[in-house]
Amino acid sequence: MKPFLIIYFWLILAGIGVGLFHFSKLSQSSRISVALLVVTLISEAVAQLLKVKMSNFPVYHFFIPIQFFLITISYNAELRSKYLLTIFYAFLAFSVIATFTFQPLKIFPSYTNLISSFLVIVWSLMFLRALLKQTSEYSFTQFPLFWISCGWLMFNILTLFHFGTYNYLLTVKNPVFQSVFRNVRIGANYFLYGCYIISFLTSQRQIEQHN
Amino acid sequence: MLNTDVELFLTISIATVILILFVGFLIAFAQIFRQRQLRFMQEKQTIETNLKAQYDQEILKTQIEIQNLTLQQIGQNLHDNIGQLLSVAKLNLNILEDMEQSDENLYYIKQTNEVIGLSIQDVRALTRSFDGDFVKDFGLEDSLVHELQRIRKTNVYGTELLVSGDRYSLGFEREIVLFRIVQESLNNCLKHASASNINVHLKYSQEMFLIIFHDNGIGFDASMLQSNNAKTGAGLRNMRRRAKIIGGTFELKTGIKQGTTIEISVPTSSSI
Repeated sequence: MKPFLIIYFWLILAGIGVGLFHFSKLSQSSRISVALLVVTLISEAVAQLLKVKMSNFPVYHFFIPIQFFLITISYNAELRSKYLLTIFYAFLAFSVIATFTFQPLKIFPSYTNLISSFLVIVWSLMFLRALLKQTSEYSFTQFPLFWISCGWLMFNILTLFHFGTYNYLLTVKNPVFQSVFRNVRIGANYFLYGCYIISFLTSQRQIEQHN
Repeated sequence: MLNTDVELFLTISIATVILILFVGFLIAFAQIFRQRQLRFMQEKQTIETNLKAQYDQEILKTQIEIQNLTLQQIGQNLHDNIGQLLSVAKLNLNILEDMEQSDENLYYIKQTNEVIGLSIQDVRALTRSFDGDFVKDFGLEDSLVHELQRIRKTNVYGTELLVSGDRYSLGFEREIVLFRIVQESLNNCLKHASASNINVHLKYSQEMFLIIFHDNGIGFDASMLQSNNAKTGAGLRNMRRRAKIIGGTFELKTGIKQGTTIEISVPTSSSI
């Protein structure tokens, strides 16, 4: 296994460990985030195993919708917007259609990934906006979803172009671009899971809902 | 080799640009968050201060109302019970006076009758002094005239009431508060000042109403009040708070052997 993958798995494992250790004190969205890390660890492990003998792309056809579902419900736990779940169902329908039509299992689901990345950016910005709008005497760093939003913003901004053009890059076989995007993606992954660990360690403040 | 250089350059460039943008975004976010938080904290503090002031005002208002009611009740009881008993005693003495008596007996009966007559007057005066409605019916000035008369009758103190400016009513709520402050000042003077003269000056002007209370007594060291002696300063603090509740100011000028002057000024536009 390549060194960056070892670090990657260890970071996810550390995130799960920290999350489970503090699980009883975690907010609802943070608990969902722990579940997301577990799903990520399992799917990445399966993807690595499949990669040895065949293409691991099918894993992502399942992993991306599940991952997006968990991210959506973790944001919905604080934003409490009916649009989030509605949009998720629309996304799920698109994902299924894409898998059965123009991006089958043997191809990386770049469109699904692109849309989920874009929507996660929207969720993150929505959360940051809600954080700004709410009136609290606590620092924003005490809100776990702030760290997770930062992680996802950074990760998705950095990888949006890569995953969106993944299949194209495979066809043109430009080693420079592939290597550049891979390195950027590795850094973004480390940053994302680092943010998850911080979010489990911080005070578990939640946005107050004023109905 | 060339490819590696390009790769490294691109990686660092893209990552740096995105990182700069991201850090900029975070700094802007933190700045806006902090500003909003500061505004929120300031608003919260203002609301809390206002609520506290409102609460204090309500407490004081209630205190004044309770005091008025209690004094009114005491006055009423004095009038109805002791006043009645004294009237009956006077009536009996009048009957005795009309009967055949020795000169010596008649002298003592007349003496007692006069004493009882004075007592009835004093009870009536005290009743009026306790009765807040007296201020409502006759106004602040007449109430103070009556109060000073009551003190002058003791023949221990000389009293004077000066009025300047065109008279106007401040409204019952403010006048009763001012009346009680002057009463408290009079009580303090009688208890502690060893004064022989008490002057009260009412100054009416368009913007301000001023009461100046002065006695020529022994005065006291005002700095002692700041030594946190709650018991000593309680009465004065209470007067100051009462003046504040009607939107006025309370000023104390005194010194050892310099008499005591109390000035209460109330803007005519203020309300309780």
